[in-house]
Amino acid sequence: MQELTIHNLRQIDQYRWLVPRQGKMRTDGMLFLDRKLLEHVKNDKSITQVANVAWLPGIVGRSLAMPDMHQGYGFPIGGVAAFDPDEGVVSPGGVGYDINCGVRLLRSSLVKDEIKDEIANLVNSLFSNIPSGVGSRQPHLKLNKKELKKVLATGAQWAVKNGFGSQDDLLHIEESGCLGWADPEAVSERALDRGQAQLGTLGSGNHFVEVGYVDTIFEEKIAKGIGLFKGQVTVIIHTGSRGLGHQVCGDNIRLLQNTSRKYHFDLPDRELCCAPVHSDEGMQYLAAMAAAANFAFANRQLITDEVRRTFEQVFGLGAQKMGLQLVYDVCHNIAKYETHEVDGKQREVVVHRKGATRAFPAHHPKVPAAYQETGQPVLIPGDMGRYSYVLVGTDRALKETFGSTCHGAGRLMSRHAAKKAAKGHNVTAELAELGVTVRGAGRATLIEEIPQAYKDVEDVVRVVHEAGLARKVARLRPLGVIKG
Amino acid sequence: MTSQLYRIIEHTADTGFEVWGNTKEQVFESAAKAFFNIMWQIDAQQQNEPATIEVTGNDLEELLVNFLEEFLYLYDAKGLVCTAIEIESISADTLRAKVWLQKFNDAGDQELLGVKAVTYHQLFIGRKNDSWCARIFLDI
Repeated sequence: MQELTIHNLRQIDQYRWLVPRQGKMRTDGMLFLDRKLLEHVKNDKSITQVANVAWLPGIVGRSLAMPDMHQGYGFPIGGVAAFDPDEGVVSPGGVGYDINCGVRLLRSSLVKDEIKDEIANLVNSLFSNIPSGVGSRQPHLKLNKKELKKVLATGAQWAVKNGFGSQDDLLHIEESGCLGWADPEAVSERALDRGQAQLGTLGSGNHFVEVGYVDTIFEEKIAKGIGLFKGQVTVIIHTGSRGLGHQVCGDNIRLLQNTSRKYHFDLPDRELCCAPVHSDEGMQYLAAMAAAANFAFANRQLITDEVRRTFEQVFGLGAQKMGLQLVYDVCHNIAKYETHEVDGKQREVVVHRKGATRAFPAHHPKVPAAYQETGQPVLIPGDMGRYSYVLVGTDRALKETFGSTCHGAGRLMSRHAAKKAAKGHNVTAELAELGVTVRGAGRATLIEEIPQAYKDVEDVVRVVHEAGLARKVARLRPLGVIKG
Repeated sequence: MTSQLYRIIEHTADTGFEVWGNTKEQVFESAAKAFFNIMWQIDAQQQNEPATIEVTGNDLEELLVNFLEEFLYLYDAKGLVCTAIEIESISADTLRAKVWLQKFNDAGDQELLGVKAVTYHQLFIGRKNDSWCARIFLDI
């Protein structure tokens, strides 16, 4: 046991640090970090944010932070917290502005050597077929508001029903790609206006589509169980609910500014504004958030369809023949009703994951039939120059973190510092030397997203694996990336 | 617009900015200009008739967030960028401004930063000594 000065942090074991309850905290905080990651975290306000989350009424268990934790707005990024549906609250700050930002992984029957000569062509085609950039619009899909509301009500199911993908895809998405309690009428006109032209677009910042291959297998049996083999070509898609989700979050943060006063909540940060789960305001937010989450599920489904079409166009083979199947799709920013064991009893809680991934173990009823023996696949993307990891959920995560694990590498440099670091460098050429072909909508994005600007995702994944919050299965290396 | 108009504040994953002015109106106007500068590089300003926008909020902070969010909305939903602005009035809960809007032009204009939202994180607007200042963080 060792005492640290910041928040009286107490080390529990090599990867666990307790933030003891103090002041107005209603519970302890728990950080999953090694010493190296802790050093990064000390430089920002994220530990305070973990403590702040513990102020919120009706919190169940601890205020948790995953190994990729860093400073966010309200909740830290990497923050996980569950609330009692009767006594507790729901907070847009516990989900974030990009509602259901998430990732999905596609596998194929192709191997690296079969596509390596076509990578430049493939990346250029993906770039021209998938609209990307801040205000990117989808030119081929004209949705009226009535149809858009159907998307918000049914998510990826809308996409499949309209010919973008198969029923089999739906079986391999968290919550089957649709949060059933979504209410499109809870979404403002302004949010609809923002989302109308953006379905099927990538957006900007850290969003991307990456073609890569499996370069290492850590657990042969599990890898086989989720259909992965060495040398196999894979595709990762990372995007969310675009302007529609941002507007839903903003709208509700605005509404809830007054609610905190109404319910006499004592909050340390305006971004932690919240409402009782069962209050009109809480229900309104959850219904609108679910609608935005469904938009994001549909968005990733449409982009998947575009990826398949592009592969067909470049390689002249059918997508089915190339085995372009969905491995899994997970949410990073979400609040959901889930059943968890707390103090020996099964109970329903509202789990907030902000920059964290659900990681349910084998034999969990919410894990698809195909993965009942392996556990739910978890995809942890790294930066565009290095690698990403595929893991599976564990029993330990279910017990300790409401079945949650990390979601990515986390930034190491500010955008400004990244620009400075990239000065005099030709980012595209240097990545090409590493064997990665990159196309970006804006030069600025490419520079801000240079690999050096991120922590090595391996540092985060190692902690997750060693702490037992997920098991490493395979490592993927990038071949070609399109950035927003 | 020069960099003296505002100062960028950056932490690892955050981007924000600070602006100053002699009056509240100046600070709102500078905040908007800084926001445009951070978001876009506009190739050529068109000579359009100005439009009027009206934004409400329960306090100055909310008013500032809602005001800047208005430009995100105009951009995302209508593809419009703002090239000039004049604050007409700011009361306790309402702001009126004259704005010069034009369509974003894919050929010449550039998006510089993908701003998702204007946040309440460490938000500040108020008097400091004899002048006004504001600090705003953006979700990227």
